[in-house]
Amino acid sequence: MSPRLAVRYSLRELRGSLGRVWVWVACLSVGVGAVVSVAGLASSVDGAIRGEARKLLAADLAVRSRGPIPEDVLETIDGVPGAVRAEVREMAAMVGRASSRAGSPGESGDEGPSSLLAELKAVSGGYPFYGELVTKPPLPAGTSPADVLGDHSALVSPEALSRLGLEVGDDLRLGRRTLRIIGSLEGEPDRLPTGFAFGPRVVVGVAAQEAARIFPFAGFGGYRVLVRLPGEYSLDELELRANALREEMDDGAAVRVETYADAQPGIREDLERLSRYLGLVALLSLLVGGVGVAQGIRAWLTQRLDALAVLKCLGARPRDLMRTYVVQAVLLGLVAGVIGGVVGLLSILLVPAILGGALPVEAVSIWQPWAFVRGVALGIGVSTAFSAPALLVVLRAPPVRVFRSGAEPLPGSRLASALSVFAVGAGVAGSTALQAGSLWLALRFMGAVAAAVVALILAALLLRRLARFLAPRCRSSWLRYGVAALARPESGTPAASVALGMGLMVLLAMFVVQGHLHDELAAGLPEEAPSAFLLNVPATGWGHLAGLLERQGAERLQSAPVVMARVGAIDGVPVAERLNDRNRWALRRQLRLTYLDELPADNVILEAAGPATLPRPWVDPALGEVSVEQNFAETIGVSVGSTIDLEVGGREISITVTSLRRVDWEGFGINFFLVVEPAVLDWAPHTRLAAAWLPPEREQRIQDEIYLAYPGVAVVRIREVLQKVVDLVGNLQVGVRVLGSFTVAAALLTLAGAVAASSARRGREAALLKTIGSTRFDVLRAFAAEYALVGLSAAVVAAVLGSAAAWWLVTRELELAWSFRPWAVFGALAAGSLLSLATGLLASVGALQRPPIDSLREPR
Amino acid sequence: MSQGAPVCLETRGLRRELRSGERTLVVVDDVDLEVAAGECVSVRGPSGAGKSTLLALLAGLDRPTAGSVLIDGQPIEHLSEDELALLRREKIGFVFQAFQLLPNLTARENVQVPLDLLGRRRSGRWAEELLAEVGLSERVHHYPSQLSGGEQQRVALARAFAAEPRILLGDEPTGNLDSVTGEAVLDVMMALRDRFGSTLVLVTHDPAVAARADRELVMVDGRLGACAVDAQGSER
Repeated sequence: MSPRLAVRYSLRELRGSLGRVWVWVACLSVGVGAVVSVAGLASSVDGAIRGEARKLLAADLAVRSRGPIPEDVLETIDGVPGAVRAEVREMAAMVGRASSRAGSPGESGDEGPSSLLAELKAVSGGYPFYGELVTKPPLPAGTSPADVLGDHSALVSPEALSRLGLEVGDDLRLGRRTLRIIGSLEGEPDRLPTGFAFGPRVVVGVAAQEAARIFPFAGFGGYRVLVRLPGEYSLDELELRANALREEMDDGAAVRVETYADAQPGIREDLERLSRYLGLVALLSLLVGGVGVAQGIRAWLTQRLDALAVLKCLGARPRDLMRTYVVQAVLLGLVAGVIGGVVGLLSILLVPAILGGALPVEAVSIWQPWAFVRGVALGIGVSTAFSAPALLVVLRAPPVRVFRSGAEPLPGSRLASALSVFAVGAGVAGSTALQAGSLWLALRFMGAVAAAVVALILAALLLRRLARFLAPRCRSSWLRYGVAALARPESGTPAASVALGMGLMVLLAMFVVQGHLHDELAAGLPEEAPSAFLLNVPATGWGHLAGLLERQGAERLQSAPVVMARVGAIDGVPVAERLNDRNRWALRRQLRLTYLDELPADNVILEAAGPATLPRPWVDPALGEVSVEQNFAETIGVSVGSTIDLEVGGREISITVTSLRRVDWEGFGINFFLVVEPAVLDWAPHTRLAAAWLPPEREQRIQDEIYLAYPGVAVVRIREVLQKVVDLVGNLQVGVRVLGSFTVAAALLTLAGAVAASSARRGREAALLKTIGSTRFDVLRAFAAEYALVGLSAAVVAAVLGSAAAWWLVTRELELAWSFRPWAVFGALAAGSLLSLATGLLASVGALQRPPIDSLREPR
Repeated sequence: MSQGAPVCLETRGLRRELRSGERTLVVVDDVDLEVAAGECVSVRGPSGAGKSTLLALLAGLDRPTAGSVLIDGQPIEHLSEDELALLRREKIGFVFQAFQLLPNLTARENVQVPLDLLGRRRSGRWAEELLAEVGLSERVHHYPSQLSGGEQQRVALARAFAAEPRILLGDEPTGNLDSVTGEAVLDVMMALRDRFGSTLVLVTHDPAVAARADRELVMVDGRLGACAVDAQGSER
């Protein structure tokens, strides 16, 4: 049979079975839609980042550092002919109403907070070289923001304006400076709204920032030099220039060079990783849809045995028929792929609204041909691969059925069976590899899916046995009939049960994991956690500030000096020679370290060079000692006895590791990777970091007080920050839950398909039951019992497996404490039974409504 | 047997056993049969005599337990499923009691199936001509469910003769039709057989149908024998 003929015949086959084809198409479309929406969204955002790369960097090339950019780096940049540079500094800073409006803190209650923690951005030179700051009112054309801002003005985001009760034209206090608000800041070219922000934005000139004496605190901002190169630079030349810069700079310099061609590599990497994980969740719904199609086609072909026999009589070879049905599976996949693809792409338009501002509408474009092609390819692949075992029916259909309806199937070919199993395996492996993008992730995913499928199949078989055992023991006839239906070999519901179980499992696991995350982040703050961290406390002002806090009701205070330092060498080997992917983050940046005589209570010494009198870890008065946190020690490659050369405040000092510590980071206490013996560092320039335990209802008031007295001290309130993390994680979880419900939807369609496929048989059964005196209600109850039991059994297995998966994620991946969530399990059981019941009954309406005589007359 | 015509269809010691639970039933028992090219043979017998099984064995749809079937002198029992399908495609047409039209296809498309399988061009036009010949030119685009029993069997006849088969096997072709319609269908079948010169093997339990054959055979309990008719018209 020629391919053209195969297409013609498969279309004719489909034409006669449109009623059930839509269920198969829907089964697959749901999964394709999920896959395409994830791929489309990721590629859309990636495209937006690449398309706007120059604007997002606001420059051709940027040099970033956590500390001030070293002079030699600036000199290197200035050595590039025609290069122009500007500087951007970002930091956490308190801003507030100027005194004219703020009054004393005691009066601030009526007007709301008089201070808030902002993300301050100080700019200089021609920033931004590309894109523009969008402000209301607009900045004068042809001027750079730094020129307009000078040392006396600020641009303030609408959120900060509204929280402080200020308007454009009012004064804003930053440190001890008063700045005039010249506009509300509506947009910045170089800021992605997807990331985490600990406060609303305020933009000032570098001059104002320096005058206010507020500087970036490690971990809360950093320095950036933006460079615009003369117009004649091509991309390749730009890359060459960037590489030259990287080489010219001392490899140990804590700076990173980035070009706009790199297009925000960090963000795009995160995006890709996220899209891989979400893509696999989406794939699950496609695989469940594949189960639905496989089962539907098997049921359909079983009813087509007579037609297959006739075709074989007329001279169609098994391979001709096989080709026809393979083409049919491909066509189904194609149609489902196109429908799912279009729906998937359209659905990404809804994402910005769902994420509520975390993703700008402009970043979303539905023109994503590759995501569409990927969806269609996966649709066709899954449809064809999963149909393969069902298509064995075609090979084994006995032509002699035209004379003898009970004829035995032809003997099966082992090769064909093996090939069909191989096809399914290859389909799953191929689609997983495509979605996962990494072999290890693909293998883990397939392992998990295989384990879940095996467990669900075993459960389905167990259920069948149980049904066989229980059916004769049921007193009520409708229940007996419903239970017995589960034991019937051709019932088709076990596959639906596997599919539904898979969907419920994903949803339950996600729900439970999200619950744990939420509790941990929101309510699960340890009792002993402080309510606020105070950054940039002046070394000389701590005594006074502590007194102020105590008067305001602070229950406890903790503080430590903070010294910025850079590791120059370890065991005499320069850092540049020790750099690798694992330690780069630690060795190429300014480190924040402290000096303490006694270790905090949440530190445990694991190994020491000699006997120490805890909490003092120091063992040798002759040495400059340092105690290192154990994981950090592993990262930078030091152990007890190692020496570390540090550059501090322009001086070089050498210290020896005399102990390794374990730190309870979850306690939110003040802790450092490196704790140095006081005598070694007490001369060094430093600020202090403090933690304060404040009465919750007085937090804002105390913050305002601190602000009035020490406007340069940034107050980071833990609860507010955690709430932002909760919101961010919540957005991700919304995505996972939406995709998880796609899996349940595909599973319900699979069940609907299974029920619809057996519609004729069910019609006959209903007719027989009615003929021997059952009412329509009796038949309805019998069917309802069957569907509810299918859903319940799937949900029981899903509850066990989903809880196990969630336990693993919670305890192993997130490292949180596990708590059993009975309501989630009950919810899954109820949802499984009810959804299955409703779907099954809806799909049986036709069978229930037919007059008995129609069904009985119908040829079997 | 037609005088001088070569043997087109032959069985030698054909036997088919079926298992029914613990028992083994002999459905076709040591049948030797020769049918000449162009001859029309009827096989009559009660239900369960093995007539349909014999037909299935002749067409290679079922495998004999022993003995062999030869078509144009070639034994077919060793052929693979694919080779048997090709043999049927080229040489054998079927008419069934239950019509066995493909419900998803229109009358024309049903007739086209054997032509398409043979890769014939313009199969649609030829199918329409044949449908016109069986009196269904107005029903070309109707589905089987939209046709009466007689019409369906005429479509089946057009399909059976479409590829101009050397052998046509009929299984109770009028069994599902009333006598008037059955007679008309039989007329059409005989006319087509005359036109295409096909060899015809008809299985029936209707004496009137059997009587239209060149040679009448009787099958009882799986054994085949010649039918003798006495002066009163009753069989012996």
